[in-house]
Amino acid sequence: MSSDGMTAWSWAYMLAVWGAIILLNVYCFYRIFTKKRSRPK
Amino acid sequence: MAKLVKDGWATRFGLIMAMAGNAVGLGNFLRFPGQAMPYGGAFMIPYFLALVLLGVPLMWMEWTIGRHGGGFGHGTAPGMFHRLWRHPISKYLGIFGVLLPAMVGVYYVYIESWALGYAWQTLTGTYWGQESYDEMKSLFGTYTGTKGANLVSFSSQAYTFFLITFVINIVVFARGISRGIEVVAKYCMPLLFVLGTILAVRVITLPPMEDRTIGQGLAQIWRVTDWGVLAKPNVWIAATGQIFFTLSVGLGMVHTYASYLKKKEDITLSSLAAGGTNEFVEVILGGTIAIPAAVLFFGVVQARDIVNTDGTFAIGFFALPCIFQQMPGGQFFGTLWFVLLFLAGLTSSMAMFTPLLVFIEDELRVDRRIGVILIGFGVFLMMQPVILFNHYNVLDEIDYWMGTFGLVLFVAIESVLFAWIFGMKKGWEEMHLGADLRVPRIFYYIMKFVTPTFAVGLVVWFAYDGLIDKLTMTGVKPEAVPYLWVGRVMILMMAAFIIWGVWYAWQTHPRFFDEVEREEETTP
Repeated sequence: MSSDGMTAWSWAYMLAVWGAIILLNVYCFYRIFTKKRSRPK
Repeated sequence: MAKLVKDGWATRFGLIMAMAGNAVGLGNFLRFPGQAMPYGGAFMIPYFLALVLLGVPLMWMEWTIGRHGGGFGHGTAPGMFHRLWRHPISKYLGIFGVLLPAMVGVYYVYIESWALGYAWQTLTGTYWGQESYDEMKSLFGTYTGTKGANLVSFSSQAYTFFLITFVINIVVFARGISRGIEVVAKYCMPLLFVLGTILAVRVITLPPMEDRTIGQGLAQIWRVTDWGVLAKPNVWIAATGQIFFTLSVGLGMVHTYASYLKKKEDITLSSLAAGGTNEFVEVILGGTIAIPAAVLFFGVVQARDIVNTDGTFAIGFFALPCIFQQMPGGQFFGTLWFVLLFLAGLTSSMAMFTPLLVFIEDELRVDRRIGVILIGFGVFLMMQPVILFNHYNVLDEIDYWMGTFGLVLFVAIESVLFAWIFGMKKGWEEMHLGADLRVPRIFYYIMKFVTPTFAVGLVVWFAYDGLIDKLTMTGVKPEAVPYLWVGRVMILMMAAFIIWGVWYAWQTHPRFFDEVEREEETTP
């Protein structure tokens, strides 16, 4: 790999951020879709 | 007792997709990677700090202001601000929430139409054979009219696609919230995810070319080579600007969308889901397509040159079309790319004229159909100088005053109004009415102290950093000055109309909205 490519830290950094964003989405949509009734009458 | 019967969101998923669609725009795929690339991986530090300290709190504030105002029959910022602060000036501070999105829409629809035009050109292979960067740059200049030397400059093809895009936008927003915007968002946003994912996977799996790899492209955004850039104010300003831009805060559209929520309908979790969706599209998809592909085909040095010299749009409209011509299945993937950009643009632009329409309906009591016709006609006229005089940078002039400075100013006004004048205690309680997510207490203090202070600081920074030069048109070519004034006069005309509208509304029916109870309070 070229010297100006991704390092192990860069991959870890990127994947950690991606993971955090995906977790946030999973958390939010899980809460929303598993709520029996989200809209009041 | 007066009671307003309003359109509304049919489903919670539709609301979240519409809010996310409002945030997801061309900037997610073009502006974000272009902002990040000059600073490398260090950019993501101020980016995420700005997201947590400014972006997410502002989202919660705007959703809260919108739902609160909507409960009293106000669908736009003038009335909403009047409800936050019973001072004669407050409603006039809210004019930005109508003015900014409408004026941004005046040029945004034209930019969005470029994506549709390029999707068609890619599908039909119109530019196939023009494989160099300079050829594609020249083609873009001719297409958009920026290269012209005559009094007016535009291409008939660009104008045709502008007309198609304009009609699509008007049809969608004329159909209203539940039958127009929500329906389009519910179908277009999932489609956008699919297209974005296909393109991201295609880019990541591209084989190395000579000594260039996709890893080098990703490194432009994720590898920290110089922590020292964090000491430069510019990186913080760039990151903050990107957060405002990407979440579409400070424009007034979120307020209007949120005004259709019921009093005890959740906003904390829904807004977080919409923001999270936007971040997924921006950071994961947007950060993986344009820059890595450009670096693989052009190399690090040239890709950086393109961004620094021609800006971020150059990657999307000059560089990637060259790349599509060289890669297997390029016509297919190229069409997907421009359709993706068009959908991202459409889901944002269809929100931009909604505050103006709602303002005309709610405050001026004009029938919806007449409002649509008035806006369609007026906005269409205003778009003509942007298109015809694009080579004199009319578009950039409106963008600076409305989409950049105006946005920051509006953010400062609304955050001070919400946190300091309405009061954070009341604001916090209002925000948590019917909440599905209890927001950590630390955000109370962030929203009270950090967000408004930072927002006011940004206005001061902008005033210090080039505002006077911009105002006096320092460095502008003399022949361009009259055309830039055309842009300014359009802004002033629109502002004058909205100011008159606010004055007229409060003169003719000052007590009407005071009599309107929240819908739920009158519902048994």
